[in-house]
Amino acid sequence: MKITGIAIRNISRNVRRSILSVTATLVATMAIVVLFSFIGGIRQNIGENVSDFISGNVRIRNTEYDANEYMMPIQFRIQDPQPLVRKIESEPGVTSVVERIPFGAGVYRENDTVPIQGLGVDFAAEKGFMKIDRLLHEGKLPEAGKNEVVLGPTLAKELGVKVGDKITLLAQTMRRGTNAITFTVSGIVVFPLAGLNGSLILAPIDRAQRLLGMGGAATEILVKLDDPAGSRAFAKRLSSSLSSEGYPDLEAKSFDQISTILSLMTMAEVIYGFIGLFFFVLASTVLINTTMMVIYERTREIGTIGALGMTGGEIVRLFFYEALTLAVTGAVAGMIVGGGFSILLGNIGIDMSDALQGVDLSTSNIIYPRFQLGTTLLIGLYSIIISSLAAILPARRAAKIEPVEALRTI
Amino acid sequence: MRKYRMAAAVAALTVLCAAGASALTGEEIIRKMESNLVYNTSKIEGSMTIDDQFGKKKSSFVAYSEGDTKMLLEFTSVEERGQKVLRIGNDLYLFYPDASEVIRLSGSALRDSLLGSDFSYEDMTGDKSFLEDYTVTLDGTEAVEGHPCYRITLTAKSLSVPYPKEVVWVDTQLFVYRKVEKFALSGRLLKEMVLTDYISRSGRNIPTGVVMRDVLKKGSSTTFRIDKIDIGIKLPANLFSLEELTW
Repeated sequence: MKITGIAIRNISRNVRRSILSVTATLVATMAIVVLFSFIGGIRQNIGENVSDFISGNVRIRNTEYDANEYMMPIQFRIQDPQPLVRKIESEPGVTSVVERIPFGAGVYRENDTVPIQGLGVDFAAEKGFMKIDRLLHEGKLPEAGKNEVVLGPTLAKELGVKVGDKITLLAQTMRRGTNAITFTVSGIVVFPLAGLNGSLILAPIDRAQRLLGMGGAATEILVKLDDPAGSRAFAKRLSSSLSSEGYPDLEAKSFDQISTILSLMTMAEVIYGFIGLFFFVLASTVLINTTMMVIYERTREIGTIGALGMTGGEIVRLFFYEALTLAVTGAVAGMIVGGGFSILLGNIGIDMSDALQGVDLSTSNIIYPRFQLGTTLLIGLYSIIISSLAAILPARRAAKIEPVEALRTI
Repeated sequence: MRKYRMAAAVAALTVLCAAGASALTGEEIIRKMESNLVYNTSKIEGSMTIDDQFGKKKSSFVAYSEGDTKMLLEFTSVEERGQKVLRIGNDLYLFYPDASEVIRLSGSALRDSLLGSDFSYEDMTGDKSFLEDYTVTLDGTEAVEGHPCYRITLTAKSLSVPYPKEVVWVDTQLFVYRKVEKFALSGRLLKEMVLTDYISRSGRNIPTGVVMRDVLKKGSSTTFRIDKIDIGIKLPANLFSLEELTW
């Protein structure tokens, strides 16, 4: 009889044991597939949030602003951004371009000021960029030329304001004087980033310019591309055209060239990489442990088949084939269940608001796991290899034991 | 020989003047200087020119004052038109044309710059005489830009003042300050104020040109210039009030 045939017969001979092996591989494979889908979802989420709220795929700023970013030096501005915005919009591969002014300000509340983060935006353009209309939870978006703002629900609660109420923003102007404007809260927006919900106020860019005494200037232009992978090449091309077209002070950088974002993403990658590795090792331990335990408990059986004349090599192959069959079954089932589960969670999302409270890694409160076929197949292959190889070592040891000694083993 | 006699006479005269001058105590010098600066009522029209890394920027203003406790500053230049600063005692209120509420400055906000100048709002507070808040030490005499001056060190009696230590050079003849240096508690120089011009009016010597330099702002200075001053005029009764501020 062929060894493969004997291996398959052995599997069906002890169904409970086989089910245990298959289940261990299934659960381990499924867990890793779901975990990696989750980490993939987080990566994608960070990328989208960074692109929507922080840098776009490519960001244009005055080089001096970049060098002193921590001071928010709005004096280092893009003097007349509109012609540049229109020019970039006409470039092939560009999906959306916006001008913005991030600024620090305080909301004046009865002899005190609550520090906030302000952002002057073009609300019409932001519908296509940060999808601001989809974030609107209550009220309406501010209109250009009107003293209206929107803010996150956490900040609204802290300030004790609701839609229709008025707040006075006090800010340092471009020339380091002070100015104040009273705004009407026209709406509440829920940002996907918990941190922004408690600190960010969005105002029409023309109102922000008036508050900050900036004339028609902006401090940054953000660009979104059809293919974010081409960001670096686009930024390089744009930078050289900026200097030759009369904007020598401006520089374009792709999101992965911006040190703060790069360090943020590297930190997130390291953290989630460690989590992934931890669970990977844990799952591997389960696979190795289950397989080895199953082989060790069959030392007596190994002695018997050795006494019947099967050679050591044949015994090792027999148990390897057996483990391989069980591993393939478990891994395939694990990939299907894990993949299905990931796709399901990818549609309904996982609410991480409690878990991520106080953690600022630019991730949204709700994470949508991202099923990745390539990663899933690799995980399945890994499970099969680990489970199969885990069978070889104990089988080789058992095959070396004299049949009489093996038969004595309980 | 005649030349030597003349020199000796001049030297003797100088010694006599110095002796006469130093007969004044530090407190008396400060009191005489402050009498030049405080008026029952006044209306001043002037300008503030900021010279910093962004170039020069001139803002014009009208200021009204009553005694040393009330002051209303209204900017008249295009960019800041309508912005007002009201000081009543140690309280400062800001009015911005686009804001529907008056902002009362307190705490660290008082250290903010007035329109980006080298003056802070804090520089405008303090309704008491130096003599109430500081211990006065007359260090001697020193010339500032060729003008003989008393060098007086003012050391704060408490931490409730903007600058724990100030050194003032008071002109021995005019009793106006020629130079003021303002220090932090650590002894670090924070600001330097130099008199560039003055006028004599109604028996008073009134500083009309002052250059303030915030040492912490590199390459920045602010020139405060008085173009027109009316002293002892009648001011509207309600001028220094929050109600009037919003009009």
